[in-house]
Amino acid sequence: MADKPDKAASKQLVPVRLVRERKPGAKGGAARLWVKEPESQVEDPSLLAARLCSCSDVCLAVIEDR
Amino acid sequence: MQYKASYYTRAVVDGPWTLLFNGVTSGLMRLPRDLSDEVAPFLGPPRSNAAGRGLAEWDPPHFAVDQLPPALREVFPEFVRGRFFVPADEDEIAFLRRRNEFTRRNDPFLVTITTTLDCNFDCYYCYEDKSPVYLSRERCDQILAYVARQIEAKGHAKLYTDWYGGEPMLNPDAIEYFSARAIDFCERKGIGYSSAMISNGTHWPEDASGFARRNRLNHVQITLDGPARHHNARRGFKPGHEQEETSFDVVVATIDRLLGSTRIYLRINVDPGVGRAALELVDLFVDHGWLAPGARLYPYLAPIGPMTEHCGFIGASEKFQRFQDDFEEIKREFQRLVAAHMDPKGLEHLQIYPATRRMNCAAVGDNSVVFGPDGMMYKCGLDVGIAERAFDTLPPVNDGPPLERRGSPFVILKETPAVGSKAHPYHAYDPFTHERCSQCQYLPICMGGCPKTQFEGNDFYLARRSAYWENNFDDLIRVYAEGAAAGG
Repeated sequence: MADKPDKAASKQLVPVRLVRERKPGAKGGAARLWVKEPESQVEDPSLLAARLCSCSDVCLAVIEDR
Repeated sequence: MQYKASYYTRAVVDGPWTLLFNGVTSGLMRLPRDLSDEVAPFLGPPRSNAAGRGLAEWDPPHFAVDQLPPALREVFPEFVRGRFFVPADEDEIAFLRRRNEFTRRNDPFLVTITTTLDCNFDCYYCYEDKSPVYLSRERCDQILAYVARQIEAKGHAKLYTDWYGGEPMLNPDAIEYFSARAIDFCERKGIGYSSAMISNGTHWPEDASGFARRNRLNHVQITLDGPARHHNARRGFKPGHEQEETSFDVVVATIDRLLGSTRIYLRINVDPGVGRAALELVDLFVDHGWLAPGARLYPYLAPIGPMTEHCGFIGASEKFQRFQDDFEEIKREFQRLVAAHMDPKGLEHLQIYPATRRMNCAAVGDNSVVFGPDGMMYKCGLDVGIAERAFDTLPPVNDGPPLERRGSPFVILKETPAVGSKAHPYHAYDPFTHERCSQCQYLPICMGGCPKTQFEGNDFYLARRSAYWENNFDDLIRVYAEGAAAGG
């Protein structure tokens, strides 16, 4: 079954400004500057990583899927 | 259009380079001196590394693109893509809040299942109140029915399960039983399935890889307490659970058998007694090929602390309090040693990089649940076994056979009226109104840390949270950039 986000909620949560997505390497001279490419800010549930915890000092769990 | 520097952009000097980081996107650039000099006037006044304050005073210059020097103008769209600069009228806190709310409503469907709170270890620092209740097949069926209802109702595209204990592998039947049915259900529905486990690594079958593959274990977390002499003293087998080899040797053998078949996160617990001896393990990792390309083993250090009331005595210990600064130093050294063996992809899993957190913990999301072996439903795994912290419970089933099989004198409490009486309001967790978090430059990468510690006012962790970022952030960025440069 395809993931169907709540459309009303998505509409309400449209980010202030979406930054245009680009493929790495398609940026001419600026590509050499990136050590780590920025994460997409597009609000798409399928892009959300499964992550149980972000505080490994406290929690035992390190669940992630990317 | 006018732009301004993002409050969450931080510049870190690294030799001749400047590393430019943004906490909202996790983007990291390495700027040569000439470009760095050109960007600097637009980044706003120099900022200290202080946590917990600063946003109210943040007043960077506003500028238009045509005011930028030509070289900077040429690459400026990339700076905007990384959100190092944002539109001048943007309210960044509002942006983060909306992103956090979206994530909490749409986070992946994550079901943590406790197969038992029983364990074959008796670690002095254990945070759980052990009980010999085992997850029965009937409970598995109930959880499967719950999962099916959730998938039908919310249209989740994938089911994630996380096996938890006690030691979950003391009850492999529940894992095999549930997994086979859940995988079959997901395939029939055309949705994905992925699983994980937190295990002590001492109760795995000879064909550990087969078990991992069959049950779709995408990754397993296993723990060592330092080298053998320390590990065996802390994580030895308790009476009645002894094996021929030491606990350390059994764990190492399990990892050897699992290697390559699943991702392995190797947690190294460090207390004041283990201390720098934790660093000795790196040689063992190399000797066993655990850091070789394709091994997919990612070790990290974690301090022993008062994770729950059950081990609260640790928080009161002066020895443990004093050790915290030493621990951070040992951790940094360990990260450097391990990072030297990792490619950039591996570095992503080492938990070195301060990546952005759309939400800080699955407990605050709408789509995660933790099942106790007795059917209690929690939001946080650290609450399991404390009925008052549960938010709901499955209906009673006949849990008789598993208990009788193990000869337990305990009786499972059916619906106790105490359920939920002390449940934390995870759904209402809000770092954006927190006095310090809302002002903090590290907010997007921290989100206040562990919500349970916030609700419980656990000073052992809370007091260290700000200090952790203040003392380590710049170095974490440098270690990552160094590793990425070496590997890339």
